[in-house]
Amino acid sequence: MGYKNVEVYSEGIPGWVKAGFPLDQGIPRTEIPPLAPSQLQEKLEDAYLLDIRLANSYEQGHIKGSHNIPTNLISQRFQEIPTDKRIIIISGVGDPTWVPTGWFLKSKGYKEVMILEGGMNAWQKEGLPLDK
Amino acid sequence: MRKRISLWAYLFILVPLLLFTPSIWAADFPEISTSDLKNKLDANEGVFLLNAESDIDFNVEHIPGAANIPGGTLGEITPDKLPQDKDTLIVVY
Repeated sequence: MGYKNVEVYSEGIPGWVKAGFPLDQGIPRTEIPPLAPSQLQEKLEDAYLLDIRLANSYEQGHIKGSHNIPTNLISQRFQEIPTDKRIIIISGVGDPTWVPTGWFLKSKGYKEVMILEGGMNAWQKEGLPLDK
Repeated sequence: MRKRISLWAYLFILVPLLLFTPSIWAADFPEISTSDLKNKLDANEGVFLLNAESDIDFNVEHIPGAANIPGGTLGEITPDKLPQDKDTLIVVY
C-alpha cells in the first residue's frame, strides 16, 4: 500500500488509561456468568449454543446442536440468534476474548447470556460427546 | 487479550501497509509513546490512528479519533478508508 510512516502504539488502551486520558465507550460491561460443562449438558435442550470459534475448528468437533457464528461475524449475523432462549457462548479455551461478545449480545437485548467455562477444551477434557 | 490484538495488528495491518514499500520493509516498526501520540492527536497533526481490533471490541471502548479496521480485513477495505496522502503518519494499536 506504500505508506511510509507507520508506527505502533503498543502501550494501547492500558497505557492510554494509565496516563489518565479518556476513552470513547459504547457497549456497557455486564455480567456474563460461567456455566460448567456438566451443567451445560443438563441444559442442552433449553439453550441456544453459540459456538464462536472459526469454522474449521467447529468442523473438527462441536457440541451437538450448536450453531457456529465466528466471533468476528457476530455483529453482522446476530439476528440469526433467537431472542427467547438462553444463549451459551462456546469458545475454544474459555479465554477472556469472548467477554465483549457477551456484552455485545446483552446490548442487543439478549437477556440471558452465559459462557461455557473453559470452552471446548474443558468440554473435551471431561469426555463429553462431540459431533463432527 | 491486548497482547493477542497486537500480534494481529502486526500480521494483518502493518505487513500489508508496508508490503509495497521495500525500503521500509526491512525496518523495525517504530514505537510511539502515549504522550507523543496524545500530543500529535491534540495538535491535529493529521495522524491516522488505526485500531485493528474486532468491531465489537472497538465499540466497547477505543481511543477517541481512532478508525476501526479489524485485523484481516485490510485487503478488503476500499482505499478511501485510508489516507490518500501516503506520507500520513499511521499509528496502529
